[in-house]
Amino acid sequence: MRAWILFLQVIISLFVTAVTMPFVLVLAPSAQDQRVGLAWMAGILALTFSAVHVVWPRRKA
Amino acid sequence: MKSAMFLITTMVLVASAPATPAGAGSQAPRVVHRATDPATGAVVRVSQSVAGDLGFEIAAPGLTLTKRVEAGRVITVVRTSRDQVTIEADKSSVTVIGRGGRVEATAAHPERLKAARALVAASPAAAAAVRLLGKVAFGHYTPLNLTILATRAMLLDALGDQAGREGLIAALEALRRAPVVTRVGWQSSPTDCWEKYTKEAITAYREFEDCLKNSSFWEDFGCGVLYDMRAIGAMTWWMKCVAISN
Repeated sequence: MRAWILFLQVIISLFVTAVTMPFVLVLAPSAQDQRVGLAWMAGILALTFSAVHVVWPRRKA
Repeated sequence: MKSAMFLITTMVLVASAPATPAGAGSQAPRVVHRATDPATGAVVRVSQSVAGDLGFEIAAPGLTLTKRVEAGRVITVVRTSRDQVTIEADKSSVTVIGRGGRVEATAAHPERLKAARALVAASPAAAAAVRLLGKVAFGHYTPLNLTILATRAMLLDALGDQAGREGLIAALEALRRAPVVTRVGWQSSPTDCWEKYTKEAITAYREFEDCLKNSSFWEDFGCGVLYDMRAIGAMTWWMKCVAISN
């Protein structure tokens, strides 16, 4: 069950990253450079995953 | 026998080359692919003329090898700082131009093939090209690999070594034994993938902005859905592209 939740969280993070990246590429043209762009991508992915992971509803013990 | 094989190898190269209308290619060819060989650091460029003919160049420190098609002739030029050899071949003749002069062998004068081979064999540039082509490693089942193997085989035949031809035959046999649908391309590098991805992503965002102008709430919703699909599609394509490149 926990593996499924993590998988879902990763998928959601990828979705958010994919939708955000075009905006980033237009807003910050330096991100069109591969190194900078990949850093942006990794950052957005990590941030989104962390946020989703933290706010994900948990059962009370 | 070796002369005959040299002629056969060059004829195969000519036959496999696309036909070119005479006079075409006056405009500068466009570079359609550029790759760096990880093993040698040699830079390979594939260019395409307006007529659609492909040219191939491999450049390493101190050595440049170019192969191009002009009016039905395959022209191979190997150049170093001190030497240059040119091999021109079409369906009926082979011409070699080197330091020792110019020799043209035709169907009417096949005996000149020996002299043509000798010119190539005497060229330090040709020997250096054979060494370089033997080291480059673009992987099996790629168009670049077959072009490199065929060029090496042609030069080695002229040098009296059959190893190149055997290598080419082995590669072709391996292809024949594995009749599978193989996705081929110009070995897109991860950088190529990234450039295509950014282009598509930026276009998707620009069109999304245009779509939002003067549209109703429901149309905005449609614009958003389309944008999401394009953005996700672009990233999925990039991930696959990078995976294929490795």
